[in-house]
Amino acid sequence: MSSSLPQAFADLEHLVAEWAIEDGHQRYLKRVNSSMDELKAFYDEIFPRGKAAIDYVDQFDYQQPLPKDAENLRNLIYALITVAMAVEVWRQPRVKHSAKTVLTRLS
Amino acid sequence: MNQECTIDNSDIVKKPESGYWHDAYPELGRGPISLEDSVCPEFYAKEKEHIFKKNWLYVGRAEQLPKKGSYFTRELAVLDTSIILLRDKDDTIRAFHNICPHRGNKLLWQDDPFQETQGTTPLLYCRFHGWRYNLDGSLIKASREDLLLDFDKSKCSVPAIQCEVWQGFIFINLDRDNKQSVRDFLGEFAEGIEGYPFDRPYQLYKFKAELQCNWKIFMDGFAESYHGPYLHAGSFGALTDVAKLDKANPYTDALAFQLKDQHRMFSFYGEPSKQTPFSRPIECLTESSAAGPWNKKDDFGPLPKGLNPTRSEKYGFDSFQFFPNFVLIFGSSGFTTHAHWPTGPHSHVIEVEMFYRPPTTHKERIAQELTVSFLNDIVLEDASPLEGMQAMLNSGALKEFYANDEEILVRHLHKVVQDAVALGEEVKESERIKEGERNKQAGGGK
Repeated sequence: MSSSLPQAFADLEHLVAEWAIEDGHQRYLKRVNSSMDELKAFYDEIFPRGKAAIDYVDQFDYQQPLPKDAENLRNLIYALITVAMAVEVWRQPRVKHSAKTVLTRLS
Repeated sequence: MNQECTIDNSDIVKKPESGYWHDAYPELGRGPISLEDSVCPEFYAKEKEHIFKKNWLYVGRAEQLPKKGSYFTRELAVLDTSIILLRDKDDTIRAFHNICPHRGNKLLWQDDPFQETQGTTPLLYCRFHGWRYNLDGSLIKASREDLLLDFDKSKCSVPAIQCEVWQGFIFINLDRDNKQSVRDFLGEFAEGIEGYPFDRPYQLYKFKAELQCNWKIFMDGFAESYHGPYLHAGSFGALTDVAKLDKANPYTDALAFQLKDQHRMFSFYGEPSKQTPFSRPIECLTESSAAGPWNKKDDFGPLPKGLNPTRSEKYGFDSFQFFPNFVLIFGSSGFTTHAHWPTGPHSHVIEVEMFYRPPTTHKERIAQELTVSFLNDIVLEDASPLEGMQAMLNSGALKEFYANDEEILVRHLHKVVQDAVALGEEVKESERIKEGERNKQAGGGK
């Protein structure tokens, strides 16, 4: 079976199905519908690989579509950004005091 | 003498010597402000009639209509109508009520008549009885013309709405008697912004939220940065540290406030986005912050004269609030629009569009993702007190609120809204009296 992540990141494979979400709104919903423990676990696992992942993705020409495995990796980086707001800033899945309000991302 | 060497500083904005912006605008007053305009359903009805149905309103960008026949619709509760925006075959951008003049069927929608839609079409087709219209609204052909009685084809057009484009921003005006161009309406601020490269390609990030608060209550939050160290204590630590001194705060006191007619702006501090002692791990990883990617190249050339009006080296961004509900913000990443659409006296939809410089590398795109994600959480933080606040305003416990010198734009927004409603009511009343007199005269002549 071909891996859905570049070889050097194969150990993150188990995160792809759940977290490699390109769509900004779906990613946000995933964050606010996750527990803090789940967010923290994802963050702790991927953050230390963040620098290497960004460098890997950055070697591709931006004007060309990414290979599927690099695209999955890029989407994990996007998810890290979304989740980091909860972990580093708010210390809860939702923006502090925002109750049920969600900003719908359209593009 | 030596006039060629004199630099013209006449358009640099300075704070009045007294130290209070209010002294530059004595007509504004300084006392408490009535809350009626944010609470009363009756006021909202008048606001719809005298403000939203009488002024130029921003509805989208020209790039959303890329080719002849491109269209999009806007469902705008505050106007009690649905609007079609389209690009005609001669490249003119036009606006219409989304209605077939035969029997009134809604022309353009997909599965749900209350959802906005977009696409491309060679003509406007009514799927109820198959009548067809040109993109200028004129009737091409009614189905079964042989059945029509006393029918004047030239009078059967899709009802048009005034529509003008300024710098790629599409505006509509529902007031049939309006004689003022959108450029004239936007006034001096618009002149000062012209020259900004709006027509470049941009990376667009778009957001929308419905909030249970009056539209002005939300705009008020974006009209001052005085709340920064308190409301954003968790997200912007640096501001809070300085605020503990409880005196002039170089990070949050505006560089300038300006009021022109019904419009207002403020210019705000901001260092170039870079690593600071307050940078969070994710910011260091992506080399970016809420203020934009770090160390970005500034290739936009000289700013138009209306931006950074104090010519400050510590300039960060400018925010223009055009009457009634259109906000245009300029920062180092590009420009952002906010449109505030009331859905009732105590609710509204905010639409945010961020037009950022197109990334050229994946790293730049990832850095923008951090900025966009951060800023949009901050918008939610800005919104977080407002629904509870609106509910308490509705209690009637307060009749008025206070605005200090850093809240001068808040004062101005409520004043121009209240003035416009008062004027609209006055005009209506005098027309009613005139009408009564005419009827009396007509009656007396019998």
